[in-house]
Amino acid sequence: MNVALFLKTLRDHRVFIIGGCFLVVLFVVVFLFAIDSLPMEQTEVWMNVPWIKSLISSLMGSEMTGAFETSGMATFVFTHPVVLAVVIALVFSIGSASLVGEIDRGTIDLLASLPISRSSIYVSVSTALIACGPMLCVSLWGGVLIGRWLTGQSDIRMDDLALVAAQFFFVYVFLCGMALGVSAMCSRRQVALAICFGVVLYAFTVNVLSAFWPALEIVSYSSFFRYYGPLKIVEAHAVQWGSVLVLTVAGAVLWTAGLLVFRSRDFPST
Amino acid sequence: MNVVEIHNLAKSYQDVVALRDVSLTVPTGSRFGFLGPNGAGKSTTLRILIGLLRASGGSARVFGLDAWGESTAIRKRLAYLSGDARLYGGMTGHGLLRFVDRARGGGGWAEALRLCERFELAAERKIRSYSKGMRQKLAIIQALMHKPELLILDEPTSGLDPLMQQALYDELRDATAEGRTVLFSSHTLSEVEQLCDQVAIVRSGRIVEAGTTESLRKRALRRVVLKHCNQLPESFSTPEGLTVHGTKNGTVTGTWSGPVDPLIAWLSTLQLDDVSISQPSLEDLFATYYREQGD
Repeated sequence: MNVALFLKTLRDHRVFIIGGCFLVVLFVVVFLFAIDSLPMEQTEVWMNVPWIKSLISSLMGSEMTGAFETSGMATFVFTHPVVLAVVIALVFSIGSASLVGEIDRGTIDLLASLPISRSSIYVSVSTALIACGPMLCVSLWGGVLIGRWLTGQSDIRMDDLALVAAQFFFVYVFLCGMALGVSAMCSRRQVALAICFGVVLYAFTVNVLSAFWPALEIVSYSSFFRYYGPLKIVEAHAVQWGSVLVLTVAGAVLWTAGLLVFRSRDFPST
Repeated sequence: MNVVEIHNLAKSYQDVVALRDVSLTVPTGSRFGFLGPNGAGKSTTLRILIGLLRASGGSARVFGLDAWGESTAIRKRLAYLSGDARLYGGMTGHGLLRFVDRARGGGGWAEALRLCERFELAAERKIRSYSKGMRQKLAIIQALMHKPELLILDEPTSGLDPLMQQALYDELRDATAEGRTVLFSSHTLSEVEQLCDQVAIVRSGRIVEAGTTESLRKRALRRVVLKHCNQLPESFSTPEGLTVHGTKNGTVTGTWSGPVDPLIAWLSTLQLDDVSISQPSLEDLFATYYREQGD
């Protein structure tokens, strides 16, 4: 790994990284205030609407049954579309800007003329991107901690949410593997972004639709959302290691494919 | 001893052949000019040498190492300036030079500062605010700052004003005086003529001529200008070896190839106001090669 390139990648995206973390914390705190201000009975009514129930279940990985305790509701923030959108945008933005973005802009000529091997370029950029993961996970968990303190919802179990944050990191790892793999294979940044967002859209759609049509259950295993399910973690008080394994292996396969292509591809002049 | 050795190099992109059967050697300590029009294959050859492209056939070796398989080891000892220098717009000039210095393991900062002064570059500004000329200066500085053994420069004077071009020529002359090698691509023949001691001419992916700049000039090519040739008919017969480039207001210009005796014998049969036989410029050389081999 080349330290100069690792630091450059972080420095290039520092505003986006810090801004993303800040947005996540802010949203989580606001979300907890919203939960706190809603009457529990109102929440129960919403959760008993069949399509809302199915939608939430598909995102949470398990049905929200019985009393809607605050900890369960707080878990929802870990799968809220706004949080997912911020994280996905951050991963794809850095992942594509650092590899295919260099090719697209033509700056790869400078980078690849330095005495840094292609593998080292790929690993340095990957390490920088992965290093943002813990920051985002801590921001998510920290946002809940701040919101819990501000709203006085002391029954939110932070230890369970730490496990959710840990599993969220492996979703992040999968997204990084995909973003870097696709980025290494493309020559145009827009194409790489379109592919990555296409995969996310597919995963989200399949995951949601499978909650409405059980016939799609089999297909939903191809969605990375299937291997997240924060509510399952809270219920079991444990990380879902099988899902962690699937996410890590899938991310690693895509990452390795990207590395192999990046090592052997041409960098034609733009 | 040759720094660069290329044998039967070929490169194609699907159906498009960019290079075919290119062979050339660049001696250590030389200033080697790689001449050709846009699209001739100059940049492709240079990009293969630094490992940006993989050759489709043949071999390219730099410092005796394989240009593709051992490119990282090669790049420790060379610097490359791309034909269209794209830099990180969000960085300052100093920021970019610091990054390059760190990525190369350090040791080039003092030289970078000297070069900033030499090329009159305001390196504290963001690169995105730079003009094309300033970006080119910065790209040149990042290539020169570590005093590499081999400098591969793809059209380095593009965007530079004449003063800065001269500063670059001086830096490159100093580099070769220290035993380093410069491989320099250009389609501006005068700068190759002014700077280089070795030259290769490339056209449509093939080397059409290679040798010392002096030897190319001496290959019995002469620039010939005949004035006030009023007695010459519209289509006059010329001896074999004279290529007429133009006839205007009684002045005939052309190039002569081969021993000069037949030319002088032919000229003595004409009544001329003036005649001039001189060393050809590379422009003439270039035009002659293209006329002979292309059409």
